Amino acid sequence: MRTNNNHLSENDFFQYHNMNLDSESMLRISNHMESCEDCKKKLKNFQLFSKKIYEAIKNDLSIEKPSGCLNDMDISAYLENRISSDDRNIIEKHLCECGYCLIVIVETKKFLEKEVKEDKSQISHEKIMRIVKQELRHKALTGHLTLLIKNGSPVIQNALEGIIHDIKDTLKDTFILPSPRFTPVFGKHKANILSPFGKIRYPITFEWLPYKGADQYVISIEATEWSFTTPDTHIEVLRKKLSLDFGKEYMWELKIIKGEKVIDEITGFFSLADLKEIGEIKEIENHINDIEPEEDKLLLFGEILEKKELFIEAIYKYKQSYAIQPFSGLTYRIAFCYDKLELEELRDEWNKKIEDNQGTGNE
Amino acid sequence: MELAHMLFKDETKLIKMIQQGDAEAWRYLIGHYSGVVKAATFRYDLSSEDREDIVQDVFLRLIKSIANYNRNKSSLTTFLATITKRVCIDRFRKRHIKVKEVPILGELSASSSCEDNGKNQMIERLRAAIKKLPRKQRLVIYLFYFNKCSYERIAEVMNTDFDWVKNTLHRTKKNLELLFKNNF
Repeated sequence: MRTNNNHLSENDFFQYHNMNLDSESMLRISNHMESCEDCKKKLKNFQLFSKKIYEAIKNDLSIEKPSGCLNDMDISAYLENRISSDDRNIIEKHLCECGYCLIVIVETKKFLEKEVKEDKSQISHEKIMRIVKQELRHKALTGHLTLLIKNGSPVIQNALEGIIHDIKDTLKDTFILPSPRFTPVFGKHKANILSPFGKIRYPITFEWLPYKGADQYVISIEATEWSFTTPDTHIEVLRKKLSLDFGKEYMWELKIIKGEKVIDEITGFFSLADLKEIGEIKEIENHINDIEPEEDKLLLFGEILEKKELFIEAIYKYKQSYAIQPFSGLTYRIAFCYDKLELEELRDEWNKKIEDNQGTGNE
Repeated sequence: MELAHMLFKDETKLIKMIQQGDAEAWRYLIGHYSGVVKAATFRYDLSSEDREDIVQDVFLRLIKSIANYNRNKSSLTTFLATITKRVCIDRFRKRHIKVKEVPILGELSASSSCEDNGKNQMIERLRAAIKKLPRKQRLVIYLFYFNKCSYERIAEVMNTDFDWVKNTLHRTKKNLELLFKNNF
């Protein structure tokens, strides 16, 4: 290590500067410098020079990750020397401009140089697995959506063209953790009528909560002669029984009857999707029918319906998906749709479920 | 677990099934490699919650990058170690996490600069001179002065000769010193 006149060598300064010597050698050098002014001065000059070099180069080595950075495979292959000389040149050219990649490479190299040790302390594999499963599901659904656009008919492509990015964003929100949520509205007032609201298509589903003391219910639609009396709280009406104009808005009324008396009346509004939209949605529905598993098909269709503003039908699809595989992102989607329909009580009911699902394994 | 081990102990098969999104293959991968991922975080001063978050982030990132993974170019351990280091470094940049050992990541928060115009000019000249060096020599300089690597590590990273690294550093320093003899 030392020259033959006992002074430190240039090599000693290099190694000492980066602390790349064993502790015994470091100590010997430190001790030598305590008694040798010459070497002390040389080391000081060396360090000064090194600092200047560092100042000179650091601005050329961006640590902000630019686009076009090396990917994980490039770095791993470079570290394992499993690349061609051409690829090596390309990578080293990048390394001469990118402090970020240089740091990643050196840090990884340091870790691998030590005998790779595992840490066997407690780690929640189940929690990681839950999150990974969600992400795999998200990835699969994005894949289905991409195929739908790519392989779909011109009708489907036109139908989704303007909203595809929104659907992808919505999918991303659905699987993000923790799930977003609404600020709850105070009060315990319960919604009475559940459907129809907003834009819908046939069959029209009329649904409401049971009313205490009611014997039967009468539904009617303003500006039409149609009405229906039933003791049930849910009916589905086909076009042949109730012919309404596509693209038009309607008000409907629910009368609650006890004996011969009307004890309450509630109204709601809906509109029928126009023919073009209905055709598009039908074609999309046929196209995605083969998607498996069922809960993914329902979820994807729900997201498309949501983006087409058929919120009530989207809610039904989401609820069917939820029944198979509940998770917090889906409860948020349902709450979101109810929020769009201004049904705050129902929104709050599902908003509460976001919290119930989060962290319980239903994510 | 034994059945899973029989199915997935062939790494080629494991990788193929992971790339296909097979949940059981992922479960096997997490079970066998989360320890390595966690060990790769130990260089950094992190709470146990942060460490667990990083492990989760690594596997989430792996989902995105596994399609590019090629077993002929890198072991899974190296691939995962690379991802882990990247995730840690990204966190460090956002939150200035300390490094427990040598402050190698100090350069991530290093600020410039020189005190006066004379010094600025000298640094600029030095910078220009270094930029003119052939690429491999320049990389040696960067790895030594920017990343504080030893000769051995530089030689291994660049897959080159130890003596070449040592001689390059010594020679380059001498040449740069001659260039700025009057300024030092």
